[in-house]
Amino acid sequence: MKKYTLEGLNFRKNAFFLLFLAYSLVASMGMSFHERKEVFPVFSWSLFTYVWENAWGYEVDIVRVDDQVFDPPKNFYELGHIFSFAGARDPGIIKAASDVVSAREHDPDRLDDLRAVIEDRYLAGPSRVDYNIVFVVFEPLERWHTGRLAGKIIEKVEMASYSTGDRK
Amino acid sequence: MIAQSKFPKRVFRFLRGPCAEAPRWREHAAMFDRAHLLVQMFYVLSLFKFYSAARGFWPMPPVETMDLLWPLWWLEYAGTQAGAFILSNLFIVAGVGGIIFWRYLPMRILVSVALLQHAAHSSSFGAINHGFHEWFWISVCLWFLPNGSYDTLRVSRAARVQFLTAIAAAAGLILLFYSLSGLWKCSTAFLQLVTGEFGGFSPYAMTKTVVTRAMWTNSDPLWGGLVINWPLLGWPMYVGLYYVELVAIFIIFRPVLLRAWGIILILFHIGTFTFLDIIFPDHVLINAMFFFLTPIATRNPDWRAMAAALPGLGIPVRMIMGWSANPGRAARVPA
Repeated sequence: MKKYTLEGLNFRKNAFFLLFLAYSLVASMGMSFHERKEVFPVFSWSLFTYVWENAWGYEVDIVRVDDQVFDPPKNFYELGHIFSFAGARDPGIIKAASDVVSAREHDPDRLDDLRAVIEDRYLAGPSRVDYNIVFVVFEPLERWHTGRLAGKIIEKVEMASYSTGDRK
Repeated sequence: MIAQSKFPKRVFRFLRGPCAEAPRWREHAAMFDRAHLLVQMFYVLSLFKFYSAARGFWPMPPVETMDLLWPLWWLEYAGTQAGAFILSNLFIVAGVGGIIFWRYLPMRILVSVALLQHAAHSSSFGAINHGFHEWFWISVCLWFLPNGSYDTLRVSRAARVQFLTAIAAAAGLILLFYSLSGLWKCSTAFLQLVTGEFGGFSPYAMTKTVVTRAMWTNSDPLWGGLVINWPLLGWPMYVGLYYVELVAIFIIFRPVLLRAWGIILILFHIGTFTFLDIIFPDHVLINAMFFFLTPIATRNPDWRAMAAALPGLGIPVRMIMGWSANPGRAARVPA
């Protein structure tokens, strides 16, 4: 009996056709209905899909690091000399902050775990960090030209306020 | 039964468009040789990834500080010490085993399992890292390689084509990812255009995207100043990107364009670095391997044939200029 046949080729073609179809369906469903926007590892590849006149999203403002109090609070990414992830311009904390806000409303059981991701990973280092998760709306070019992170913001709403407590 | 259905064939015919030419049977042996090398490269690079990552599990943070994805559910029971031990050893076995025994399906599946663990681990800290997804899905496509030694496969016409089909499918799946990305972008931008809102087709779309991203992470992209100071420069680039992504899936059926799309997609990821300060090293590597070095691409295609084969845009080229999308046998360089 021949080991390699054209039937084997047809099987592969059909399998790949179904794989592509199934992937597209699951990715679309995940993007629409899953809280992570993805049924891992089937990603929809929806990246930079939305372009708006005004940008909006979550940011993390640092209120206090150890004994140093920031008034007004400083954006996490302005403190690259304190937090290594800010220095590396790692965007992970933005998604983590969004997950925390979402968990507060929809899945309180996961809140502590998600807070731990922020506090033990992105805010690791200092013995105490107080921080706010804020929702901001801004016109990108205007904010950029008026001082970047400290520039003009159209709207800022505090969504949550936490402290790591004394960790040492 | 799908095998007897004309539906997939019609879909393929639509996607293939004017590119009707297929390589001659005698070319398949040389194509198989290059495909074989490509697969070996994939498993060598997988070993490199595993080796680079294996040490990174020490020390693994406590499970409570991780937002575990489902492939790592077992970590909750094993704990981090045992988890790091298991993952490191899995990577060693899968990495070394992959380069030696990739001809056997169980080993290819084991490599996929290890890649999935790798992807899940890197994405279990609050944000999903999409750099690993493509690598994992390519490994899944390679499950469908025919098993057998090089000599056994090379003498069988059916085996050679089966092998090449798996390589083509891996490339096709990557192109599907780009097409999905383009589909969401274009459909959203189109709706915004229809409703009169600012959107992806707006002249300042790229500038706003670049500035927003730079602000989110307080970064200074290498070429960001170009589109911030001259926003209209970004318009053709952004619309061009939408086109390149949207039609990507057609390209797997148009081998005359495969290598060009590989370069264009690499340039796109260079653009994400220079304009957005986001790097996609895995994607650059994959595009170079599966499009630029792919054995299924037409070698040295005629530029007029490439223009004529462009999805959508090739229609006026063919109608007005009369150019054909089929480069002809003479344009091929025998391997």
